[in-house]
Amino acid sequence: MMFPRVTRRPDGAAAIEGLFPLHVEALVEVPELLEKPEGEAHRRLFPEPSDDAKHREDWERLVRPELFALLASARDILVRDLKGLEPTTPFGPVPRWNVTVPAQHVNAWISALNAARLALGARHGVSTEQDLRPELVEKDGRIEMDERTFAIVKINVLAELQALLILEGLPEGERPPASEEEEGSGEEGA
Amino acid sequence: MTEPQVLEETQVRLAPPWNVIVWNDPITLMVYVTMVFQRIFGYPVEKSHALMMEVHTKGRSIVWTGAREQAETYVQKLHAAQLLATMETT
Repeated sequence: MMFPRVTRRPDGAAAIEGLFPLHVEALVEVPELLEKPEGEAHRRLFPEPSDDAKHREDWERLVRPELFALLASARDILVRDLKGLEPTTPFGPVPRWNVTVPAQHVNAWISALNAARLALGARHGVSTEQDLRPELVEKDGRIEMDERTFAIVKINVLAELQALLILEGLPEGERPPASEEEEGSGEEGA
Repeated sequence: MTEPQVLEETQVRLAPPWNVIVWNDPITLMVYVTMVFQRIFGYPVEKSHALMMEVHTKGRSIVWTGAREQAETYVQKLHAAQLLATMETT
């Protein structure tokens, strides 16, 4: 089975190929997650800058609108690019999907995927690295998942795409190395 | 006879430096944090990676220290990258 891969094209675009339906399902949910983050998701995406009440008040008034605008811009870029999602094997048993991210959109995608993962985690009370490794229960040959477990699976699926975009989609000089401590491309928790 | 000379002394009290602190969260990818440190602070990859590992293993890391205004700019950029960052005076 071929896993999704990202290839940086000569024009700098990142070609994402071989997405499974689960990847697509997680991706198309990203815009909704970032449209109007509320409650815990809002608190996580727009944290306080300090303990000082006056500083927080100024931050809310002067800085936060710009942070909202940046996130909205990344979301809008992802929405536009997702319109180019194409099935590659429409008549096969397991459809796979491709999408191309223009060079100037790669950073917005990395940011939007990160924010969506954080919003999902905040919504579902993910507070430890252990929470990201739920025990999957198999029953009658099928894996049963409650809503929270499915959300965690999506966090991990989006992590895979985010790490691929960072390690394969950015220009070579901008890619951080995946270290031994990270046991691969993109372990969570930093 | 010469006039007595008055010596004036001005004391300049420097504002205390501010620390920019990044806190661990379980979801943000380690490779992403390293990338953000490289971009925002211009640190070499080794330093960015070491700071990321400090965040990961100790729960927080002081990633920069200096004037308040610059600290605010850095915290804003770190928040734009969705990292948990705060600032505090030393």
